[in-house]
Amino acid sequence: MDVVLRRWKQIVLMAVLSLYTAYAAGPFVWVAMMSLRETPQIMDHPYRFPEAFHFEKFWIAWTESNYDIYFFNSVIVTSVAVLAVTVIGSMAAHCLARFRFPGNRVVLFVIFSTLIFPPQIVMISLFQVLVEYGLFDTRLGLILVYIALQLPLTVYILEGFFSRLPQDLFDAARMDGYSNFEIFWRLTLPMGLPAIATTVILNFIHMWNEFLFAVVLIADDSKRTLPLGIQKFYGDRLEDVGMIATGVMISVIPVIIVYVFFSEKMIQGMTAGAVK
Amino acid sequence: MAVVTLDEVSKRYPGSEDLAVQSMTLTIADGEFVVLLGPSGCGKSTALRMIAGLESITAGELSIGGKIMNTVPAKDRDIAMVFQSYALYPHMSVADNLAFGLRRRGVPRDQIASRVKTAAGMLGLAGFLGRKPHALSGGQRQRVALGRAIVRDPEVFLFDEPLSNLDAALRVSTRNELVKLHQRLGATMVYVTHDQVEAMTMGQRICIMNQGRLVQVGEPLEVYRYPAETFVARFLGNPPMNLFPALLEAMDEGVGVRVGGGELLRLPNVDPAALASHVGKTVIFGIRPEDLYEHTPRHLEGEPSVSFEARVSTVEALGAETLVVLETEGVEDVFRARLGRESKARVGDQVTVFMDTHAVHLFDPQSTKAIVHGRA
Repeated sequence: MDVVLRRWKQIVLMAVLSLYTAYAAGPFVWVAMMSLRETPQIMDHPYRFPEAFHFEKFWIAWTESNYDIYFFNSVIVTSVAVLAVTVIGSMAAHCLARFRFPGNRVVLFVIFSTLIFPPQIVMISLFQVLVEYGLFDTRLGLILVYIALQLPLTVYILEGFFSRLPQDLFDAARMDGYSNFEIFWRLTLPMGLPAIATTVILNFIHMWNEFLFAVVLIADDSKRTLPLGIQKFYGDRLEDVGMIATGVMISVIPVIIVYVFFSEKMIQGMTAGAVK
Repeated sequence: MAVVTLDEVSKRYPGSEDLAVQSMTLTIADGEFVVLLGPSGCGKSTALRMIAGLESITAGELSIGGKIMNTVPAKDRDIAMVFQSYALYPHMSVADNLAFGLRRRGVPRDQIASRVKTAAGMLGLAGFLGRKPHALSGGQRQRVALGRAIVRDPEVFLFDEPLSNLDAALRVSTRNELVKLHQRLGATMVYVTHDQVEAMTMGQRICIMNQGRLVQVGEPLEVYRYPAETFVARFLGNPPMNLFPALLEAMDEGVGVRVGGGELLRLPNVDPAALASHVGKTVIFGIRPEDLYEHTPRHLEGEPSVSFEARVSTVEALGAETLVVLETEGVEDVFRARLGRESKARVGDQVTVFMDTHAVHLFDPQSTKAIVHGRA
């Protein structure tokens, strides 16, 4: 009886998980299939598996719609901003987690409180500041905005993780003669890798897909990032569903690569502290 | 010469009214193994961390080898510390953990390799040098922590409850290994623990701390036999010393104490003149559980013995000995006795308990300090 019951439980569990997976991954798989099909075929049978794989569509999208430029811009803006946020954020989090100084918690609270407000409320003032400093319609301006916007969340996540690292380790390193920076470099960074991977992946995805600030702060076509490029692509190829899907897939691939690369560490970060 | 001297050293943490360590004065001789013993929160770890340079000193002077160390950074004190949590770097192998401190100090590579090899061999870690700490057992991790201190070859070793995460059997064997290590290295060692067995078995001297204060310093048996305060009498010994309020009265020849409404117990071997100021006043009467017997012990035969009736309320037969909790008429508190393994005492039994009155301690109820000690 127990065996039958257990088997039924497994079947129900598998069914629920399969349904959820189909629900979550279905739209993505559908777009992935459309990216390899011609638009007339999609119109005839929208959900069919590709009859033939039209990989050449990726090359056409890349060369004929400035995708190379948008992609390059996105890579530059996102990677520089993620790198800066990670370096500055982890250093700030290390200081807040390790050093007892007056106002330590106040600083953390102020940083955290900025997360409460929707970023749109700073849009006008940011626009004004960037124009004032000659940073409007520049990649550097967009990078600085992304750093400022993502830094609070990064510091908050990393401080939470770093403060759980045992103080004894840092005391031992101090007694071994390591300086504060060496301790950060040789202990905090390698031991905090799961949390750092989490912030890298979250920041990368957020910045790679960011549209609102990019559309307001970038005007020149040669400086557009991918989300703006896709938007333009929609306009250029209003009827060409297949090519739109191909364009979307090009923008998604780097996110998948980053996720695959960092996901193991990210899961470690999310489950850190669950077991001793 | 690594003589460690604390001269009126105090510590106050920011935001706290009380002193975590109060005017601690102690001199630890070169090559001595000293144990700081006390309950949680008594300031023993803070004192150790001040010696290590991990905590600032609020007042007083700390010197090591004759050099004042108050403001000298931890790295320049030539001290190694073994932490309670072992503090092993989880992302490094055992070999890297051992070599980490030496690399920073610019020790040549071949010397690092040889020192790591020697320490690993000494601690039975030679086969585990490539492993990460998570792949080691608790005992192995503890040995790596110890090895990390040994390879540094420091003047002073500090231990902050390093055995508290080990199981009972491993604790005993590691305790012995540490004592042997001290004999071999001959370095000055300061060991913090709340475990009195560790303190009694390892320390050449024990420093008992309570509420930030150094209460008593002495050799283990000396501190056990002659507790300076009721705190030490209660803290050292398991079960602790029985302590009751009692009235000190003059007798024809000498003095005696009356516990509760019981009979007057003559105190032999006590100089009545020394107790003159306490006669007629309340004192605290103390007797260790092992100085209570079911039968008159051989060493008391022929002497006038003191006995009283008591009811057994709890029995803990431990095999090698039997611990009993007793109640007697006229005395509010229960008292504990350590009886022989042959004891047949059962809960509810009425027994006659013999007391070695030579072993009675008296304490001042106000200051809690000892007035008279029984014989050792």
